[in-house]
Amino acid sequence: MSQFRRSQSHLLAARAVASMARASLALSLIGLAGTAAAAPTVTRLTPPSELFASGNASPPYIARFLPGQRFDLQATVRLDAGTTLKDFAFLIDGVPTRTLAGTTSIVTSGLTLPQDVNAAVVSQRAFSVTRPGVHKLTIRATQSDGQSVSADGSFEVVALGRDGKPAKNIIILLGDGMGAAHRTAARIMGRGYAQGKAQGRLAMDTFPVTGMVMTSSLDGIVTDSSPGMSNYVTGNKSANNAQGVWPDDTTDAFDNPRIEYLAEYLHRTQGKALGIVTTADVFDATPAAMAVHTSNRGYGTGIVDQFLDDRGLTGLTVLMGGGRKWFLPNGDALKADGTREGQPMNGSQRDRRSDYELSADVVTGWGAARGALDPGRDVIGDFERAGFAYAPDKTALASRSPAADKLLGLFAYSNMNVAFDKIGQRRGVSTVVDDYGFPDQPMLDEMAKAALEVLAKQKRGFIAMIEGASIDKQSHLMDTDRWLLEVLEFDRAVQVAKDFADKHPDTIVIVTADHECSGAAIIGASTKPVAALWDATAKPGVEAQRDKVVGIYQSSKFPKYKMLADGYPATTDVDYKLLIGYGANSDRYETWLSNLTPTRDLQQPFGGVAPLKAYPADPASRNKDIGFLVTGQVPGDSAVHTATDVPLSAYGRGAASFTGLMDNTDVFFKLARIARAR
Amino acid sequence: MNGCPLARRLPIDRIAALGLAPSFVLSLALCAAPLPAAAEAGAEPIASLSFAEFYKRPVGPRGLEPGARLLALAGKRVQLSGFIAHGAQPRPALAILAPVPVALDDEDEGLADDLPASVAYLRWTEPRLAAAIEACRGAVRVTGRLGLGARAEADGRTSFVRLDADDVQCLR
Repeated sequence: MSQFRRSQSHLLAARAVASMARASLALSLIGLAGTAAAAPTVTRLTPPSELFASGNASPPYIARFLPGQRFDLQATVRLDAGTTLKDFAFLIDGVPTRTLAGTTSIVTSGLTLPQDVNAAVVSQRAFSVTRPGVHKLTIRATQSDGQSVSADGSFEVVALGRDGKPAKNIIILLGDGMGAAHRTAARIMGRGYAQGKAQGRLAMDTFPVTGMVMTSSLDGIVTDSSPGMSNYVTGNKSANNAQGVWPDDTTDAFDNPRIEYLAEYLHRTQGKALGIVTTADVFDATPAAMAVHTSNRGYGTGIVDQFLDDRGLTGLTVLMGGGRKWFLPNGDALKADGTREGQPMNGSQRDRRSDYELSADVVTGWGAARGALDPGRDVIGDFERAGFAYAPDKTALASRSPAADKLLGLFAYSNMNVAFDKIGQRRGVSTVVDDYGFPDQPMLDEMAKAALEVLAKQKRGFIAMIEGASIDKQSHLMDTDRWLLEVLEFDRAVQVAKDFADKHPDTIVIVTADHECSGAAIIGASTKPVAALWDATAKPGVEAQRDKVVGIYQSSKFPKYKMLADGYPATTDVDYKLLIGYGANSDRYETWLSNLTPTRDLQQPFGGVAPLKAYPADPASRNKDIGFLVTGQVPGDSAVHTATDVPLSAYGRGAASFTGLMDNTDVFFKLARIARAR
Repeated sequence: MNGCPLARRLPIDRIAALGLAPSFVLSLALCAAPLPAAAEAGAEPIASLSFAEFYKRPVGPRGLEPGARLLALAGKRVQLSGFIAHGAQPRPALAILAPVPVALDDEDEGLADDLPASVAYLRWTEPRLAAAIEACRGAVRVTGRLGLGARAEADGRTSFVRLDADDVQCLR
């Protein structure tokens, strides 16, 4: 009986006595408490299910898998004081699972539960079921005094079927935080409208099939980027801050019950390679949620180590983005006094706290690398020794050996600079990129092109994820002009992928987002020329900057931006410019003008020193003396993600299936079906 | 001239009436009084150092590289101005001096927190410095001996630049 059903029985009993005297009810409740304390209980059963959580046996099923897709079974059993766990067994449809040596574990220490709780977390690693259908999962456990407990959950194995030709290559273009408004705004800026008609389409607009995606995570209506990405490529819901795993009751961030990624599944069954391209730090949530299993998205040292060490599981072949700080050795020859003679001052952020060593059952079950607490590791060197060509900048990326069949690109210390500033530097009108210390960074489309050239050498195909990361980051900061150029940059990468699919018709390309960010809304356009917006900064306030400026409905007209040959507007500060509002905003000061410098990013190496020191600290201080205050609806110093559905557009082989409303986990099964996974 | 505007605006006799913690009162009192420099170190010249001089730009393919002036000042007394990073779990005789105000969080995403690369770890032996460092919520100027090279710190991070502090001044 599940914990819930045990509780339900008592609840029904309590209801039955509700009409009795209060004394009788009190006695009943005392009896309930006594019963609960006198037997073991199951407080968590993984994979998660509504059958276990609420007793609801009806679909939709929370956990679903491909036939043969691997996942961990886990349960938390609370034991009576003074007892220990005698034995446990998982059963599928009433039949005990077959356990391989070394793939099970019982953990009784290092738990997140209150100290006075006597509990055991029991696991069986890398389990799978091939028979399609809904299956009942049962945990049976017995404590040392002979009392036992049983609880039920459920999961579904999805029959894939087959139709059409399989796709050899999968390309996922992920505009982080890119909602429908972000796409529309970029189209207005990049293509222009006249008399109500768009004068052109973004590359993503030309994809023939579009649907909408529900993005919620396991533990919240509003997801963060970890489950936002992970759910697309595991077919299952992870909790916020977690990727490729379900929650558990242990403190170890790398021992959570795993779900096999699409990349792992397709590498294991078809030999496909994996490519990851991002404008963020590569340890960031979205790239890591393609290949790394952890419940804490912040563990950068362990995340980049796992990228490399488990390349045999994932097929990792291309990794590009920022985040060099995680790859630099931080000394492994610590002396007793804590010093490391000879260790270079390289700015490494590697440390033991964010590293990992896997437990034996995970290593044995999954065939994963054990890992080590090794902040002194030279990860760039290890990538090179594993056959990866290393490109630290755009020049090296462009001049890499044509023979390179594995590629590591680390173009920044942390997140890469955004398109607004990279293009500004290429045009000779901005020094922001130089101030960051990385003057030679590639654009996302240049990275995407290089990645696809390398991945195209893979005879058995590949799965690639190409992320426009700072659509989200600049939306958090409500820096409208910067996220608009991020969408345009991302769309140029979409065009690269579309061109690739035209040359390789055995390719499916999807473009979507992990979630919407900031509640961005196109509220209209300025009724004033840009000079008037500047004039208004001399007398900031709602009258001068809102009431006399914000044009709505027909007053918004059709903003016109002059696009240059590099694909970006000559300036975003045009007369009668597009105006964006935010529905999930923190406090900010608005001028409607572009910000000369980005908002401060302290993760950058020179983030606190001149000239970056003078950058605005946050949206609540940016333009404080020249803009009008827009009071936030959320606490904190940045806008937040929303639960609004996001668009998904598809192109190429099997694209037709991506229509209508779908859950983000549905995308996994559609991609697997198109890849003819089995 | 000390730089503790709160202390100037709030006379000590009014602080207790506001119900502030004694440690906070002590901190304000210390902040209000200029700290004497270490007498025995007074004769040695003090070089001014800025965070901008810590590392070279652009960044190299294998990471940051220390600036020439930083290297030249290793082992010497220097003066460095910045902000004490607050929010992390307090450690005895250890603090982080950052070029901008920084709030650290050792939990959750604290391992990837917003601590810039250009920071200096402060160490001290004189108890009066602990109170001063706790008191300074704005800018602070620290004088001390400069140490370089990677070192594992008690907070789990690695320091590259350290100051063995002998004087701390709150700035305006």
